[in-house]
Amino acid sequence: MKKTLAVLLIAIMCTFTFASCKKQTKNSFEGQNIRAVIGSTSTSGDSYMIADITSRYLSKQLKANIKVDAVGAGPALQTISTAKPDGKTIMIFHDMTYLGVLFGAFDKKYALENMVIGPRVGINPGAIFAAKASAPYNNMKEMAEYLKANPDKHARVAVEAGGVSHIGFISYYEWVAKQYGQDVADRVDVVIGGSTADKCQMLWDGNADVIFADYSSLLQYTDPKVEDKLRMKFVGLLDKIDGESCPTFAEMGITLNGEPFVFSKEFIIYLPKDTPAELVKELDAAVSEISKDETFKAEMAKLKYKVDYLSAEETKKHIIEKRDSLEALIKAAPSLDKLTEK
Amino acid sequence: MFDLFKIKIVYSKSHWVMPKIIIGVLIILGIIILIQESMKAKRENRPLFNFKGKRFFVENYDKLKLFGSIALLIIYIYAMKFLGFIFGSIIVISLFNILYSPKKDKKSILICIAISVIETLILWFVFGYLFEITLP
Amino acid sequence: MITFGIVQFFAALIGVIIGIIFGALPGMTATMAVVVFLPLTYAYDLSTSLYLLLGLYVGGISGGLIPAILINIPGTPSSITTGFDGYPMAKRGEGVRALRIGITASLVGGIISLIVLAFFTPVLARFAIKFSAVEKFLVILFAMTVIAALSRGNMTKGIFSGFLGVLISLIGIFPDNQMMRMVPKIFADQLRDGFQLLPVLIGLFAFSQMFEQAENGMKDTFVEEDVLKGKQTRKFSFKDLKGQSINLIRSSLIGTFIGVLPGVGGSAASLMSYSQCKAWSKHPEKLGTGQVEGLVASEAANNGLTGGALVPLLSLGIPGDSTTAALVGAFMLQGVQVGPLFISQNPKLWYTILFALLLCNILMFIVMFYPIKYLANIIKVPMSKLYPAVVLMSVVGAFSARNGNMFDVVTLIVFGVIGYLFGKIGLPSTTFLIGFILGRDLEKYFVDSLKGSGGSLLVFFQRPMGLVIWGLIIIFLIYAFFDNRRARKQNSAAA
Repeated sequence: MKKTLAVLLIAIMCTFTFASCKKQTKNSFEGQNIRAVIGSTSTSGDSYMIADITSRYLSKQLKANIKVDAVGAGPALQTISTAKPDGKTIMIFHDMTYLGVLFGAFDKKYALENMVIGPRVGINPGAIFAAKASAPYNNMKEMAEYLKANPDKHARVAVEAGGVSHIGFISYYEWVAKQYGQDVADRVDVVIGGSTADKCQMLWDGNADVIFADYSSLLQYTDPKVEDKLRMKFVGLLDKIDGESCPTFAEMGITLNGEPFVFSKEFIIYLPKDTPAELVKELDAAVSEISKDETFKAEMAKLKYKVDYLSAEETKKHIIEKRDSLEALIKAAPSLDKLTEK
Repeated sequence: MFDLFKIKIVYSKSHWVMPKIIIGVLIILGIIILIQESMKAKRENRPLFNFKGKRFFVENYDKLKLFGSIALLIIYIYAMKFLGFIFGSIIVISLFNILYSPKKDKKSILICIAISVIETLILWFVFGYLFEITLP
Repeated sequence: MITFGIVQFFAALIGVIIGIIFGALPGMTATMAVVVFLPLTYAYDLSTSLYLLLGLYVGGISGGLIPAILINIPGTPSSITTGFDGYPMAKRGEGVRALRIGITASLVGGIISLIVLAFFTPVLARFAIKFSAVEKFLVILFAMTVIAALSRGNMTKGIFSGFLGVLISLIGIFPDNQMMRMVPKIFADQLRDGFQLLPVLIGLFAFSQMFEQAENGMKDTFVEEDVLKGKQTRKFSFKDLKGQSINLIRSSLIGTFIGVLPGVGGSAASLMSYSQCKAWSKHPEKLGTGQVEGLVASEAANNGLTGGALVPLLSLGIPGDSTTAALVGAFMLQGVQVGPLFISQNPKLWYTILFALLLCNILMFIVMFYPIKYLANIIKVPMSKLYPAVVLMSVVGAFSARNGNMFDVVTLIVFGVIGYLFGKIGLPSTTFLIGFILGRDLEKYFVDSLKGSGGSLLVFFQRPMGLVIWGLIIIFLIYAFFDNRRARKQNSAAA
């Protein structure tokens, strides 16, 4: 009895040693279990949606098993900067990757230089500012004019500190100050909001006049059938969205350093530092391949996301350029202490 | 101007508003507890801090099991890091079972190991394999 | 009218069973279950997925009562109060009875909240958006009064411990300005988001108990000697719930109400319900010693949450708790928007959800009520064999709750030691935990209220709904204060 048990135990142990030590001989994603961390803990935001759809197609293409782990921004950055470069860990995340570091929310050791920038999968152009449907202005240009005409009025804009909305707001603020004078800009106040749900509630109970959120998450509230108390309208886009009539920042003439301001969230695959070039190449080829897939495109389009492949090399150049140009903007911008002051 | 009913929220310092209030409350409560205890001590005619006859651990406490558990838990973390979930767990959980087991003859040790292997494998199979939960 | 068939039935059944398993294992929650199954639902249509996901939700919330009653380790944060009266009952050999009372109360809570969801969703949605940060702050404050109720006879220490819990919960980053506080530099990465609730909970309850038992040589089982010998004990009958109808309805509605409020955590439901139960009870001093009413209050409330949390989700597009927040993903993946137009545009889906929720509640009851008899034998397993298994499960749970974070396992151990030390110096760890659970929300709504008012504290007294809650808080605190004095007098008379 004792012997049988012992033999059985040893047998089980051996099986598992074997199973877990299936060492692969060459660098490849093929047949691997890949963990894709994302910088959000929510399973309903654009980060999760894009990562989920992409990884499903990418799994097939790479003949691997990708699993999306919604760990949040801090843990994601930490994971990708400490993981072994064996292709078992990747990160799919948007511009927050470097914005967090620029705004000082994250340590410099999480800078783009400390990871390998892979290919871009897609973009989410759907960053919008929305106001209550009953607001006395139809877009953010009119808002500035409205404030100019009514010197006793303020407009409170809900933004998330250190995020894309922060960038969008700063560019707007600088533009208003230049075009309409500091007096008007001073009356554009910032309120700090958290999640989209939080911001919607702030708008509804009158604690904010304009909120910033994802296009697809707010679209339903603009429907004329929604009751007045909840109805919203879009007042500014950061980038063009197909089928949306609301003007973009660029169309309203909002500029940054003389250039029209355009901003889309770019979803890029990041890999740990020192990842072998052949792995990046394999990933690059796979993303390029799936981005030609019509069903993939359609699925992303359903949520207003755009498939937009850019090779790892080009992505790297592009994103570092983007970061450096934003750095100047952020440095010159007034602090949130001042902007949130009543 | 100092205003009793006003707490100014400065954005860059807003993360300290609540902790400061709570620490204040804790200090006040701490003082109240101290007063209460010293009054009680006075009533009962004994010094405030009386460690005589009191002991931290129960009498004849099981040093091995108590400190052994804490040590094993710490080992567990390293075991999972270096040996992976399955092996780390089998070894450490076996040790836990053996540590707690009242009898330590060969047979019960073997049973302990068997239990641990089965538990670990079931957990791994259900969560790690079927549900694809990330395990160490 | 609705989508239902054999596939959906099994989806619900599987969901409920797996949900119960997740709920029952310490360290795993309904939210985790939903997140794990989210990618799988893609292969099915939305209605079938919803049967599965709602099953996971209902099962996950209900399963937490099993370990809470049997081994005094809450399986999920919302079943903390279940153990207060459930475990003493199990200890004196009424384990099966306690479990069945809990399950029945859960069913009632689930059904009542379903009725509320079905008939009052539009009304409640309008009510929910009237609740601004001020009211939410006061609701959290009200939930915190349970601390006073629990520290009867030892009030200052209980409150101290509660506020200490609040302080510890604030460690880490403040989401508004992304600034870190109370974090030593070397832990800056690990403690960014502070200590996580689940490992703190399991550490304080399970691990500290384990250390205490280890100190005593790990000799016992969880129940008393004569129970082991199979001495006849009280059996469950539905008569046990006689006289509990008001309690059942009140607790279910409290649970539903907390669910309806977006951004007020689900654990607040059972805490508030328990403290209300104590306030209304004819013999409050007996609560905590194994009373049916306490058990009923806790379980009816946490299942009442399920229907309630779906109200703002389906009518405003804003989830009522963390599990429903994960559910949003399922809708989005299938391209369905949940929000103000959801019910009018998707009537079939809406009725399917109501039916699925009903089915899941009934299945939960059937699946748990009968087999629980056998499961209850767990408590007869000697501690020396049970605790290692608990360690294993807790570690897996803690590690995987944030998708693979070893620091959460460290948290587990640290709070195990802290809980153990608390026991030694006479600080209650329950109130600490309650403070910890509510701390972050308390801060968020306090700061948000002040941001809205430009810093004036008077804002807390200027809204009519707020004044009502203040009234309740004050009445309750006065009551708790006198109750505390009575208890102290009794104690000194006895001594």
